[in-house]
Amino acid sequence: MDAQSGDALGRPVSAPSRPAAPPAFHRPVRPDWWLSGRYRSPSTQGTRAYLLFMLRELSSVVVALFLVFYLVQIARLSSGQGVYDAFVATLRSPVVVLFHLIALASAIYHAVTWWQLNGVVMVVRLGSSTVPPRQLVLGGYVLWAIASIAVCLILVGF
Amino acid sequence: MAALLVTVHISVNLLVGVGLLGTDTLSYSRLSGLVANPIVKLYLLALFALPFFHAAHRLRGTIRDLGLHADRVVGFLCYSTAIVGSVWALAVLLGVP
Repeated sequence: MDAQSGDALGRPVSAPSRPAAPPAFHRPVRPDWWLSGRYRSPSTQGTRAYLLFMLRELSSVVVALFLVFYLVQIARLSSGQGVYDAFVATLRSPVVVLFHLIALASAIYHAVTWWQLNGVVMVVRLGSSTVPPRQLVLGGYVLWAIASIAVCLILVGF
Repeated sequence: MAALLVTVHISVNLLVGVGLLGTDTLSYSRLSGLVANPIVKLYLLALFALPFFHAAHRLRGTIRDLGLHADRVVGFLCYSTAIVGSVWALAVLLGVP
Protein backbone atom coordinates (compact mmCIF):
# COMPACT_ATOMS: atom_id res chain seq x y z
CA MET A 1 0.00 0.00 0.00
CA ASP A 2 1.30 3.38 -0.96
CA ALA A 3 1.25 5.59 2.12
CA GLN A 4 1.59 8.68 -0.02
CA SER A 5 -1.65 8.33 -1.91
CA GLY A 6 -4.14 6.85 0.59
CA ASP A 7 -5.80 7.83 3.83
CA ALA A 8 -5.90 5.67 6.99
CA LEU A 9 -8.40 3.29 5.38
CA GLY A 10 -6.50 3.04 2.14
CA ARG A 11 -8.93 5.12 0.15
CA PRO A 12 -7.37 7.27 -2.49
CA VAL A 13 -7.02 10.88 -1.43
CA SER A 14 -8.16 13.45 -3.87
CA ALA A 15 -8.80 17.16 -3.73
CA PRO A 16 -12.13 18.00 -2.14
CA SER A 17 -14.65 18.04 -4.89
CA ARG A 18 -15.93 21.57 -5.04
CA PRO A 19 -17.77 22.92 -8.02
CA ALA A 20 -15.51 25.11 -10.17
CA ALA A 21 -15.91 28.82 -9.42
CA PRO A 22 -18.15 30.44 -11.99
CA PRO A 23 -16.33 32.84 -14.30
CA ALA A 24 -16.27 36.35 -12.87
CA PHE A 25 -19.04 38.51 -14.24
CA HIS A 26 -17.89 41.69 -15.93
CA ARG A 27 -20.60 44.08 -16.81
CA PRO A 28 -19.94 45.03 -20.41
CA VAL A 29 -18.94 48.69 -20.72
CA ARG A 30 -19.35 50.34 -24.08
CA PRO A 31 -16.55 52.71 -25.12
CA ASP A 32 -19.15 55.46 -25.52
CA TRP A 33 -20.48 55.11 -21.95
CA TRP A 34 -19.68 58.77 -21.27
CA LEU A 35 -22.10 59.80 -24.04
CA SER A 36 -24.96 57.53 -23.05
CA GLY A 37 -27.65 58.34 -20.56
CA ARG A 38 -27.70 54.80 -19.17
CA TYR A 39 -25.52 55.73 -16.21
CA ARG A 40 -27.76 58.51 -15.02
CA SER A 41 -28.38 58.48 -11.33
CA PRO A 42 -29.98 60.85 -8.83
CA SER A 43 -26.56 62.18 -7.87
CA THR A 44 -25.78 63.19 -11.43
CA GLN A 45 -29.26 64.65 -11.83
CA GLY A 46 -29.65 63.19 -15.30
CA THR A 47 -27.25 65.72 -16.68
CA ARG A 48 -24.30 65.15 -18.95
CA ALA A 49 -22.10 64.61 -15.90
CA TYR A 50 -20.03 61.89 -17.55
CA LEU A 51 -19.48 63.96 -20.67
CA LEU A 52 -18.37 66.86 -18.50
CA PHE A 53 -16.07 64.50 -16.59
CA MET A 54 -14.42 63.41 -19.84
CA LEU A 55 -14.07 67.02 -20.98
CA ARG A 56 -12.47 67.88 -17.65
CA GLU A 57 -9.96 65.07 -17.98
CA LEU A 58 -9.06 66.12 -21.52
CA SER A 59 -8.86 69.82 -20.61
CA SER A 60 -5.57 69.02 -18.86
CA VAL A 61 -4.22 67.76 -22.19
CA VAL A 62 -5.28 71.02 -23.90
CA VAL A 63 -3.43 72.96 -21.18
CA ALA A 64 -0.35 70.79 -21.78
CA LEU A 65 -0.56 71.58 -25.52
CA PHE A 66 -0.60 75.29 -24.70
CA LEU A 67 2.47 74.80 -22.52
CA VAL A 68 4.29 73.16 -25.44
CA PHE A 69 3.48 76.29 -27.49
CA TYR A 70 4.64 78.49 -24.60
CA LEU A 71 7.85 76.49 -24.23
CA VAL A 72 8.60 77.09 -27.92
CA GLN A 73 7.96 80.80 -27.28
CA ILE A 74 10.51 80.86 -24.45
CA ALA A 75 12.96 78.73 -26.44
CA ARG A 76 12.89 81.43 -29.17
CA LEU A 77 14.49 83.81 -26.63
CA SER A 78 17.82 82.02 -27.04
CA SER A 79 17.62 82.28 -30.86
CA GLY A 80 17.93 86.06 -30.83
CA GLN A 81 15.57 89.02 -30.89
CA GLY A 82 14.57 88.71 -34.58
CA VAL A 83 13.40 85.11 -34.22
CA TYR A 84 11.62 85.84 -30.93
CA ASP A 85 9.83 88.94 -32.28
CA ALA A 86 8.63 86.96 -35.31
CA PHE A 87 7.13 84.36 -32.95
CA VAL A 88 5.39 87.00 -30.81
CA ALA A 89 3.95 88.49 -34.03
CA THR A 90 2.20 85.15 -34.72
CA LEU A 91 0.18 85.66 -31.50
CA ARG A 92 -2.00 88.04 -33.57
CA SER A 93 -2.96 85.31 -36.02
CA PRO A 94 -6.66 84.33 -35.67
CA VAL A 95 -5.81 80.62 -35.44
CA VAL A 96 -3.39 81.28 -32.56
CA VAL A 97 -5.97 83.53 -30.83
CA LEU A 98 -8.59 80.76 -31.15
CA PHE A 99 -6.10 78.24 -29.76
CA HIS A 100 -5.50 80.53 -26.77
CA LEU A 101 -9.25 80.97 -26.22
CA ILE A 102 -9.77 77.19 -26.14
CA ALA A 103 -6.76 76.76 -23.85
CA LEU A 104 -8.01 79.50 -21.51
CA ALA A 105 -11.49 77.97 -21.32
CA SER A 106 -9.93 74.55 -20.58
CA ALA A 107 -7.64 75.91 -17.87
CA ILE A 108 -10.47 77.87 -16.20
CA TYR A 109 -12.81 74.86 -16.34
CA HIS A 110 -10.12 72.62 -14.86
CA ALA A 111 -9.35 75.08 -12.08
CA VAL A 112 -12.99 75.85 -11.20
CA THR A 113 -13.92 72.16 -11.00
CA TRP A 114 -10.81 71.55 -8.91
CA TRP A 115 -11.82 74.11 -6.27
CA GLN A 116 -15.41 72.85 -6.25
CA LEU A 117 -14.15 69.32 -5.71
CA ASN A 118 -11.71 70.50 -3.08
CA GLY A 119 -14.50 72.14 -1.09
CA VAL A 120 -16.36 68.83 -0.92
CA VAL A 121 -13.56 66.35 -0.21
CA MET A 122 -11.36 68.40 2.10
CA VAL A 123 -12.55 68.68 5.66
CA VAL A 124 -11.06 71.56 7.61
CA ARG A 125 -11.80 71.73 11.31
CA LEU A 126 -11.50 74.92 13.27
CA GLY A 127 -11.78 74.05 16.94
CA SER A 128 -14.94 71.96 17.24
CA SER A 129 -16.63 73.20 14.07
CA THR A 130 -16.06 72.32 10.43
CA VAL A 131 -15.47 74.94 7.77
CA PRO A 132 -18.43 74.79 5.35
CA PRO A 133 -17.61 73.65 1.78
CA ARG A 134 -18.81 76.99 0.37
CA GLN A 135 -16.15 78.86 2.30
CA LEU A 136 -13.43 76.41 1.22
CA VAL A 137 -14.44 76.87 -2.42
CA LEU A 138 -14.44 80.63 -1.94
CA GLY A 139 -11.04 80.43 -0.24
CA GLY A 140 -9.73 78.51 -3.23
CA TYR A 141 -10.90 81.22 -5.62
CA VAL A 142 -9.27 83.91 -3.45
CA LEU A 143 -6.00 81.96 -3.39
CA TRP A 144 -6.19 81.52 -7.17
CA ALA A 145 -6.83 85.24 -7.65
CA ILE A 146 -3.95 86.30 -5.39
CA ALA A 147 -1.51 83.93 -7.12
CA SER A 148 -2.72 85.07 -10.55
CA ILE A 149 -2.38 88.76 -9.70
CA ALA A 150 1.12 88.19 -8.31
CA VAL A 151 2.27 86.38 -11.45
CA CYS A 152 0.54 88.96 -13.65
CA LEU A 153 2.32 91.84 -11.91
CA ILE A 154 5.70 90.18 -12.45
CA LEU A 155 4.97 89.16 -16.06
CA VAL A 156 3.32 92.38 -17.26
CA GLY A 157 5.25 94.73 -15.02
CA PHE A 158 4.17 96.93 -12.18
CA MET B 1 -2.09 72.93 -9.01
CA ALA B 2 0.25 74.49 -11.50
CA ALA B 3 -2.69 74.60 -13.93
CA LEU B 4 -4.06 77.36 -11.69
CA LEU B 5 -1.17 79.60 -12.72
CA VAL B 6 -1.35 78.72 -16.41
CA THR B 7 -4.49 80.88 -16.81
CA VAL B 8 -2.45 84.06 -16.30
CA HIS B 9 0.12 83.07 -18.90
CA ILE B 10 -2.57 82.18 -21.45
CA SER B 11 -4.39 85.44 -20.71
CA VAL B 12 -1.33 87.64 -21.20
CA ASN B 13 -0.50 85.92 -24.51
CA LEU B 14 -4.14 86.28 -25.56
CA LEU B 15 -4.36 89.97 -24.61
CA VAL B 16 -1.20 90.68 -26.61
CA GLY B 17 -2.68 88.69 -29.49
CA VAL B 18 -5.92 90.67 -29.63
CA GLY B 19 -4.06 93.95 -29.15
CA LEU B 20 -5.33 94.87 -25.66
CA LEU B 21 -1.76 94.70 -24.38
CA GLY B 22 1.13 96.15 -26.39
CA THR B 23 3.70 93.77 -27.87
CA ASP B 24 6.29 95.49 -25.65
CA THR B 25 4.68 93.57 -22.75
CA LEU B 26 6.31 90.43 -24.13
CA SER B 27 9.32 92.27 -25.56
CA TYR B 28 12.59 90.40 -26.03
CA SER B 29 14.46 92.48 -23.47
CA ARG B 30 11.77 92.19 -20.77
CA LEU B 31 11.21 88.45 -21.20
CA SER B 32 14.86 87.45 -21.46
CA GLY B 33 15.54 89.61 -18.40
CA LEU B 34 12.81 87.77 -16.47
CA VAL B 35 13.83 84.27 -17.58
CA ALA B 36 17.47 85.05 -16.69
CA ASN B 37 16.42 85.08 -13.03
CA PRO B 38 17.11 81.66 -11.40
CA ILE B 39 13.92 81.84 -9.31
CA VAL B 40 11.88 82.50 -12.46
CA LYS B 41 13.64 79.55 -14.13
CA LEU B 42 12.64 77.32 -11.23
CA TYR B 43 9.06 78.63 -11.31
CA LEU B 44 8.82 78.02 -15.07
CA LEU B 45 10.24 74.51 -14.71
CA ALA B 46 7.40 73.72 -12.29
CA LEU B 47 4.89 75.51 -14.55
CA PHE B 48 5.86 73.17 -17.41
CA ALA B 49 6.77 69.89 -15.73
CA LEU B 50 3.90 69.52 -13.26
CA PRO B 51 1.06 69.98 -15.81
CA PHE B 52 2.92 67.67 -18.22
CA PHE B 53 2.76 64.85 -15.68
CA HIS B 54 -0.78 65.82 -14.67
CA ALA B 55 -1.96 65.64 -18.30
CA ALA B 56 -0.09 62.36 -18.84
CA HIS B 57 -1.87 60.85 -15.84
CA ARG B 58 -5.31 62.14 -16.89
CA LEU B 59 -4.80 60.95 -20.47
CA ARG B 60 -3.74 57.51 -19.27
CA GLY B 61 -6.92 57.20 -17.21
CA THR B 62 -9.11 58.51 -20.02
CA ILE B 63 -7.70 56.01 -22.53
CA ARG B 64 -8.42 53.22 -20.06
CA ASP B 65 -11.92 54.60 -19.51
CA LEU B 66 -12.49 54.54 -23.26
CA GLY B 67 -12.00 50.78 -23.14
CA LEU B 68 -8.44 50.34 -24.37
CA HIS B 69 -6.96 47.77 -22.03
CA ALA B 70 -3.25 48.35 -22.56
CA ASP B 71 -2.51 50.26 -19.40
CA ARG B 72 1.19 49.33 -19.18
CA VAL B 73 1.94 50.47 -22.72
CA VAL B 74 -0.27 53.56 -22.52
CA GLY B 75 1.13 54.51 -19.11
CA PHE B 76 4.70 54.07 -20.36
CA LEU B 77 4.02 56.26 -23.41
CA CYS B 78 2.21 58.95 -21.40
CA TYR B 79 4.78 59.28 -18.63
CA SER B 80 7.76 59.06 -21.00
CA THR B 81 6.29 61.92 -23.03
CA ALA B 82 5.97 63.92 -19.81
CA ILE B 83 9.59 63.15 -18.90
CA VAL B 84 10.80 64.18 -22.37
CA GLY B 85 8.76 67.40 -22.15
CA SER B 86 10.15 68.22 -18.71
CA VAL B 87 13.75 67.58 -19.77
CA TRP B 88 13.11 69.75 -22.84
CA ALA B 89 11.77 72.52 -20.55
CA LEU B 90 14.87 72.23 -18.36
CA ALA B 91 17.15 72.43 -21.42
CA VAL B 92 15.26 75.47 -22.78
CA LEU B 93 15.38 77.30 -19.45
CA LEU B 94 19.09 76.61 -18.97
CA GLY B 95 19.67 77.68 -22.57
CA VAL B 96 18.28 81.19 -21.98
CA PRO B 97 21.25 83.16 -20.63
